Amino acid sequence: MILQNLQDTLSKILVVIEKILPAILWSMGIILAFVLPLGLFLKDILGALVSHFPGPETGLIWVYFIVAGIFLGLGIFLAVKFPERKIQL
Amino acid sequence: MDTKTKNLLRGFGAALSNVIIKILIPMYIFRSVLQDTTIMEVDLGFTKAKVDIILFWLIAMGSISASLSFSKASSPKHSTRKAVFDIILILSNAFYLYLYRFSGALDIAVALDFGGATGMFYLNFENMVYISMGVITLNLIIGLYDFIISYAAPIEEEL
Repeated sequence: MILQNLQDTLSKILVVIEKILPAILWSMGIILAFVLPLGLFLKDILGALVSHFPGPETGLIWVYFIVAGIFLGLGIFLAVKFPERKIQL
Repeated sequence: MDTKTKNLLRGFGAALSNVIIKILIPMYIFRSVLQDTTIMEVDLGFTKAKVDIILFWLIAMGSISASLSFSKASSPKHSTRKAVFDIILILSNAFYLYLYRFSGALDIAVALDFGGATGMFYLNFENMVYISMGVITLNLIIGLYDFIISYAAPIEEEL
């Protein structure tokens, strides 16, 4: 009787695993085949670009603040000057 | 409330949340929790010099990211400028992730010292970043698609 119950429980668990396993394998496959190479590609591009950025040894943090200030100023200007969207239909 | 004020409030809200999430919380974690931490006899290797480098990139790229999120959030819905700022923000986030995580935040050199017995091992979580980078690239593709849509076939506002 106990063995029968155990077998029933195990078969129920196996049915669930059978249903979710393809989804897990597919998502892992997509990550490995598509997302990971994209990540490596982007990492290589970024690695080449950031070598030109002023690092902590230069102490030029104000350069980043100026860039941030330009974007903030541009955002405030556009939000105040053009609050509505021009629909091009 | 007029549209101008609404846009500005939306923008400041987004910028503030970015400052808290991308600068203040990691800064607190690295400076107050992880720096010079020794759990039991295990030294995590986050020295002051190493934390200073991490914080430099955190503040530098975090501030650019926060200002860009202001510009994006304060733009009207489905507008071309929102799509443009979205693409720049995604790129900025990619730089933030790259510079902050590759600045030493994911290299953990654990030194063990149990009286007579000492040892050292090295943990490197940098491979985990590749998946995040892949997701960012997918977001970039979606951002470019949004830009093309907003430029070539603009969505009509809901009335």
